[in-house]
Amino acid sequence: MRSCREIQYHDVVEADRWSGRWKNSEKISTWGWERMYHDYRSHSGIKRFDVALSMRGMLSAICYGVPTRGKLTLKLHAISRRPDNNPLQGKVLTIILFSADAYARLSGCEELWICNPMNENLVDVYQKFGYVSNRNEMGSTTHLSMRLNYD
Amino acid sequence: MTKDEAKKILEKNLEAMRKQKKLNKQAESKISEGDESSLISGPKNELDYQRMKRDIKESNDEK
Repeated sequence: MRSCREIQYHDVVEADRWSGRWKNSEKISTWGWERMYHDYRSHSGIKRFDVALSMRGMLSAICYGVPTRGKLTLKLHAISRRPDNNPLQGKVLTIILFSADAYARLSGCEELWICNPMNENLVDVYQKFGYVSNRNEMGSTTHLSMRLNYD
Repeated sequence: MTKDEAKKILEKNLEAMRKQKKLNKQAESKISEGDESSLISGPKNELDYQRMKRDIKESNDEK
């Protein structure tokens, strides 16, 4: 059974172990999930988007985000997935982005941002989901954005 | 926000969310296994990490 729930401490401990299992160094996260877990919980009662995606009890992906700029933008700060034997292979992004879309609408946000994609291949992937690349003066993508359409 | 309030907001946005879901499904079929295996985004360095912390603080200040 698939579940989409709040990130718990044991999830970030597991996610920190994923880094060593990627063969390609471009896929190794440059931050510690445990550190991020504590920073995201450093302000009590803060509204945050945090999702641990699992299938049959196996953690498949996690994502942290927060509404900012007067709650106009939901920024997804970090996304990562299990590198091997991922039961939700091919579905992770669809589920996370759909959940983020719903959360952003509930919060009244006008835009969704995906911050700091790790490489340009990933920028192409996000663009297929309708996101637009925002680049700095060096030509690197700082974030991808999407305006939410409200009926 | 109560569950009923949340439900009402999502119901109001149902059509827009359906459209986005359709786009997501189309994108999902276009990306290869290799594409998704690179799925990782997050602070690339300490400066990015501090920016993230600022966002968290800002969000807390605005609540």
